[in-house]
Amino acid sequence: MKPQPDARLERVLATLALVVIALISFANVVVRYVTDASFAFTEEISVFLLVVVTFAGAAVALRRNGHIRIGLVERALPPGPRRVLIALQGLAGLVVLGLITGYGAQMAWQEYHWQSLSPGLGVPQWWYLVWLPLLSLAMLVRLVQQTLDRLRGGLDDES
Amino acid sequence: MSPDFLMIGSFGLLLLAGVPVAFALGLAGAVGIVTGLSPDMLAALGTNTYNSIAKYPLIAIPLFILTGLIFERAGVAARLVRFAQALIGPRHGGLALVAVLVCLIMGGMSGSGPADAAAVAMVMLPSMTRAGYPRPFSATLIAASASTAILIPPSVALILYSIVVPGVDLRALFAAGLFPGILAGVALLLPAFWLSRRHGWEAPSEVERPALGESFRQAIPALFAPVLILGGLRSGLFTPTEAAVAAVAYGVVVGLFLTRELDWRELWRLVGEAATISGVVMLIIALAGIFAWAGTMLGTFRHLAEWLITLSDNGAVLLTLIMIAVLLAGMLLDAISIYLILMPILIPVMQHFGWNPVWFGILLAMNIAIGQYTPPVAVNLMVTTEVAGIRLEQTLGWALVFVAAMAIALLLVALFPPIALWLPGVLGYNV
Amino acid sequence: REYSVSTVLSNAFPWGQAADKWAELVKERSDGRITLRVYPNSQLVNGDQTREFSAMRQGLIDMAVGSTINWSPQVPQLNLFSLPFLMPDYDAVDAVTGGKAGEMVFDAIESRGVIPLAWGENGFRELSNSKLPINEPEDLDGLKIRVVGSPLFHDTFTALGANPTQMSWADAKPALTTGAVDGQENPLSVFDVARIDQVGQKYLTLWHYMNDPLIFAVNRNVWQQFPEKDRELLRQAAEDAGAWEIEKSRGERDDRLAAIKERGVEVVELDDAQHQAFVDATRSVYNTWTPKIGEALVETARQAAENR
Ligand code: NA
Ligand code: NA
Repeated sequence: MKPQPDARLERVLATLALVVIALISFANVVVRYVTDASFAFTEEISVFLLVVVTFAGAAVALRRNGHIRIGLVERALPPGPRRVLIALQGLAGLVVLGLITGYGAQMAWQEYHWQSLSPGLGVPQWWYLVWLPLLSLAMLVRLVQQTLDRLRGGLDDES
Repeated sequence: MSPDFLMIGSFGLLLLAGVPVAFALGLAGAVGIVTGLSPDMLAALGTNTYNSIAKYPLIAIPLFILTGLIFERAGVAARLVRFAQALIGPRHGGLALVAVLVCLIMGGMSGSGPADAAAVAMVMLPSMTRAGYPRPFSATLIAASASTAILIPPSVALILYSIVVPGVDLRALFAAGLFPGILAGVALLLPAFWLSRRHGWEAPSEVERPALGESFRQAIPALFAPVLILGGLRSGLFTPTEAAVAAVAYGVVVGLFLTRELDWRELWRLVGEAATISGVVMLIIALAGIFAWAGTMLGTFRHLAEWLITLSDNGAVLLTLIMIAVLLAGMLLDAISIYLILMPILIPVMQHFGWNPVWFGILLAMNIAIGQYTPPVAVNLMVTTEVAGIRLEQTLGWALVFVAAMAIALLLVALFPPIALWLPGVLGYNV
Repeated sequence: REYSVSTVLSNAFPWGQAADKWAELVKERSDGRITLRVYPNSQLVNGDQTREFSAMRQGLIDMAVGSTINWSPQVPQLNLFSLPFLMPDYDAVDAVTGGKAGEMVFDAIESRGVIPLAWGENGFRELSNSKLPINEPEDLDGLKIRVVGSPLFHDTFTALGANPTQMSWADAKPALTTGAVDGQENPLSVFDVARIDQVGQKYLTLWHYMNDPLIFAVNRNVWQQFPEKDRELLRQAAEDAGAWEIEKSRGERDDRLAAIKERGVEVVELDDAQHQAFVDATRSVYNTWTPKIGEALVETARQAAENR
């Protein structure tokens, strides 16, 4: 296999988030069985980190063209029409990620404006929510990079 | 055109156009919202994308994916193969038996099939080829056996089913998957065995047999992993999420200190790999949330379920139709997407006919497992054919044989529900 | 057009019945012009009930019948009802919601961008668990209890020595089933209908530590689009549905308790001294939370409850 393009920043972020999830969960099990105490209220943080894992991890996969999709039609096409199709695929992703980024930012801004608090720890809710538009924007950038690579014929297209 | 139709139609078109499943779901949901509701409600793409994945039980998914990766990279597959070879010995079909057996055990450590398929293929393909098995046959057999990973606990697909279907106990689902998973393995083995004898693959004298005691000692850490996961859940010591993190910790210890095939740098890389795979799976869950929201608000799922129920009064007929539909969907789609897209439609049907939700979940999982090695889109086959250095098309004939084999196992579980429900019942779970 | 109404519980529970009644009355009184469709199980917010209020404010949900607990992340004043042992009986509840304090709460909701219409009731929340009968605060030591909605519950249960964990209802039942949590607190109607006894919750303590009212509410833009006549119709229907539901659910309480006992759940009723021990143990919660909720509101509510 030839070396795959990387989204280093998101990869490090996703890796760190998953490491912290594993450490919190593991510490919780150990502490609960050893001391009968627990810090179950930290579940809010684990759930937030899961969101980071998801979108940062998805950005890495996006850079590598690694998302699950059906490549049948694409592979059957001659190079010219295939490039058109790749551009259209890029456009479809762009619309979805654009909507998520825009409405995610709106959601985070509204919760900031209305001063909503998180249900578990009572911290400002936007601290968590703002990562959706940020990471969605990162995905959008990776999508553009990936689409340009593929249009230049630089990425394998089997899926 | 009705918004229902536009939404489902655009989803189909986007899929065919090669748009990633997750984006196809999100965009089709947006089409439904714009045409059937109001453009303001596109705000669901912010709120519901987040809500769909911000759920505590979903934490088990990246952790079980990580468990699978760690065990594969810790070199347990090679040790399991040696032990199974020592146990079975060289005979016609011996290595086929070893491959199936090792896939089943690996399935007890990982939550989804493709990585298992890759690990077993890398270890077994060279020796199977040397022993005379055709590469396309070996690649298909391993791909098919590895698909049992979503039946044998832990299973990412079953975790998702327990979240989508309210009131189903994940531990009951996990227990219910075990025997159907083994049955599926046996169903694959029978034709493999028969074909090996008929074609004279693997003459009894050609392969050297490892020492039993030593290979068993080496395989113990790997054999203990499924025991830890299932036993921990059974004893009430762990919740599913805790079982996942315990399994990760155990895998780290095995890889770093017992097999010593892992180091910290490699571990860090594996966590990143698990996060990336989780990103793929969870993005589908996030954007299926938009599709589901739009389908709920438009009444699409309600209408489809009502239409399905009018097709037949006979539960068996409808179950057969559903299974055929899922089989066809499985040719194109992955397990997670199928669960997320079909469950809102199938839950009302399931309730209408009073089907046991645990049993129904297992039937779906078996069916979706088959989809993992049915061309054209077959995640497991893709990795094994890559390892084997052959084209996917070469496996078509063998794939049909093994699809038929596992379909018979599926039929048996459909006809005799206790194959799935006996174990969770004995363990005292609500089924 | 059809308007969406979000609820957390289905019409098997008084909560869902309140929403159904509202829809029924609106349809009847508008001669079918206005249709409300009820979506239970927080499905419009993918099961995350603490995001229901935000979604209604955004316009993703037109209307909702929601619990004060679930809306408290967005409206801090709603934590009032979660203050432990503020309202000892139904008269106290009615005095708070029906009086000046109730108006102050409705003003607070409106100032956060949603139009409140009427009160309903989820009921007094009682404590259950799978481990032991709870007679005194010490019995709660180390128990992992599922709560939802506000860090106030974290403070209450921590003060009692338990391990609270925040979890939506969609996740709670599986968590109880697998033993991920030991206990939960909910009204008797929820314990009864959701068959919480079947997930190993063998012990139930009647401690009446709080009562969460339900609130009927509408998205502001949707509200402004209705002509004055229809607004009055919607508000009156909500008030009638709420009153109907409150009476019905209070009337069913004794039968529910009998049914729960029938199923072998060990029910603990606290005597005055035992009850006081819980009141004393949770007093610190008021110090932290009165400033967050508002001195004036807490004082008004406390007096209303006292002079009931
Ligand atoms: Na598995
Ligand atoms: Na397939």
